[in-house]
Amino acid sequence: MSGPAADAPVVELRRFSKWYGDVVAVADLSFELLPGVTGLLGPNGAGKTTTLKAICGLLHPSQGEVLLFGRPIQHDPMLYRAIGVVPDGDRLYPRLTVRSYVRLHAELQGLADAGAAADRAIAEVDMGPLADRRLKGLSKGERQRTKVAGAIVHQPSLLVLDEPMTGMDPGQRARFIELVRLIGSAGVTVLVSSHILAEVERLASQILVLVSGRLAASGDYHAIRDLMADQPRTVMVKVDDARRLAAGLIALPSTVSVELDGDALRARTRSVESFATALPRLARDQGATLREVRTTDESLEQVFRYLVSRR
Amino acid sequence: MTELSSPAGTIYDRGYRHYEGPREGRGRRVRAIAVAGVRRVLGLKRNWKTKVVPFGLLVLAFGPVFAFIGARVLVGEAVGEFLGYGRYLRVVAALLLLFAATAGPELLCPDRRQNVLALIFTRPVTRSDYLLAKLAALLAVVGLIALVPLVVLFVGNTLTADSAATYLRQNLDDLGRILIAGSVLTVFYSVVALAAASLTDRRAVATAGLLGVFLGTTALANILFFTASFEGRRWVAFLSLAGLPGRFVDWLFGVPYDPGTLADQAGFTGPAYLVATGVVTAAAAAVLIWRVLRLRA
Repeated sequence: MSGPAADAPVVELRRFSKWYGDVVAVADLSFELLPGVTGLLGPNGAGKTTTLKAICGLLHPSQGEVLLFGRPIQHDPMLYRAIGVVPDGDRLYPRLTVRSYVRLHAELQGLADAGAAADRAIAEVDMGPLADRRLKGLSKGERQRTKVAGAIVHQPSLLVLDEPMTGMDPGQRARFIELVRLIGSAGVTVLVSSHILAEVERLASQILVLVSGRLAASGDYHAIRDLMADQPRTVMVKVDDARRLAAGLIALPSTVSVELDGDALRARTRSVESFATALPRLARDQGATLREVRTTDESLEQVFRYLVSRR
Repeated sequence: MTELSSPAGTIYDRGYRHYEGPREGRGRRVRAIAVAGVRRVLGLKRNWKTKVVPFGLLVLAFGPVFAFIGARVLVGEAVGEFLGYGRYLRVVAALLLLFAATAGPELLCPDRRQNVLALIFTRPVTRSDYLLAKLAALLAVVGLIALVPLVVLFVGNTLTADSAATYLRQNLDDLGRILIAGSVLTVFYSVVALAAASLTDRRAVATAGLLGVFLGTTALANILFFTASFEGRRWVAFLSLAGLPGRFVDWLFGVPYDPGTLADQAGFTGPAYLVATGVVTAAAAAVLIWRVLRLRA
């Protein structure tokens, strides 16, 4: 294998489309993945798995190109030495032990000391105490972590994880998120698909959102939120006299609505900037004391809901 | 791994880093899948139920040989001749069919049934590596039954003869025949069993289908030959898949076809059956390659 091209993006999709008969699964998708963790989001049927499969070389594009390290993976199976994949679903040999399963993957990767590599990967996913247990006797979360160990046993440059946290308990999820962040921070390109937005939010700041087979948004989700100009944003204000301040806020041209909630109010505004400029002046004029001001709909879920609903 | 040390303790740098150590080649990948396949077929490191069929067949193949050699060691040549290499291979051929019909599907079907192909084909493993590994695994275990008992028998006969050197000199041709016949049987049953397994992801269907085709074609050939009357009906002898390699083996060892049977009356000799065996093996190999190279993960 000639080594991966140093200056090529780890993953690059150029106008990638995939259709099955008359059904278009993914249309005209283009993006590049940078080192670090990227979340792949989308409702069911959006084309996430098709995109991941194309990146992993498990299906051929109907149109366009999918390049890993500047090369199409179908023509160069040795590129799999640089990538680790955790497919969705329960794809394991149930009668193998955790250690023999991970070791098999180390051997498939041609690692010189497969046993040591397997033990290291098992330890990284916290499966050491269960290393000699058969896979069929493990919980779903434990099997998921075993699959991840198999995918990272050769310490890949690209890690593709399809719904990796399915079945994990909260503690396992927290440790897994920590592991993925560690891997991403070490310069590995990690692509994680998940439908649990709170998890992606903790894992990745970069996101790709697919809706109906098309790319709805990509990049830092905070930046994407800022671009959602036509979507009013909610600002929560805690103040000593909420009722009086609400009357002033509703008069602002950018304000859409104001709700009172005890000593707090929630204002929906078309322009956070003008709201932020006007609020202190209004409070001063009315003799009110501001205790807390913050936006409340900055979450990934809000971004995702917006992107999906506008299609 | 870098470390920060002080007399009181050590902080390990557990940072993630890329593997830059040596990598082994294609042979290692193929070997890894093949070894896993052999373990699977023999039920190694699995519960006792998965060992019953393979080890039962191994006992049937090896048991008489070891019993005979043991008797020869105790009593000497007074025990007389064993069944004969050719006739023993006939017995073994029946075991081979059963063994291959269960082992072939065990090697191929669960990978699709349990959806593990995506795990395999997202490693540096090509479809050809996969095919080669599965074939190597089945050839190894089928060869274990087709070749090893007779080689053991030959060695036992040699060592328990009054003069080992004389026995070896007089019977060396038999060793060559054992290797040729065993290899033909091994390749034929392995390739055909894997081809059958490649057509379905259900082990039971593949096993039943393979046995059904072998038994069915034998019955059909006999019915056509003995009940119908038409020009060139002797050619139906080649329809009996189970009989093809066996008749070649009989010819190779000089064992006459049983009187009145289809093989006896059809009038073909061993080389004709060898060609037919080769044709069937090639056709099965074509099916197997076609199916495996198009496997979708």
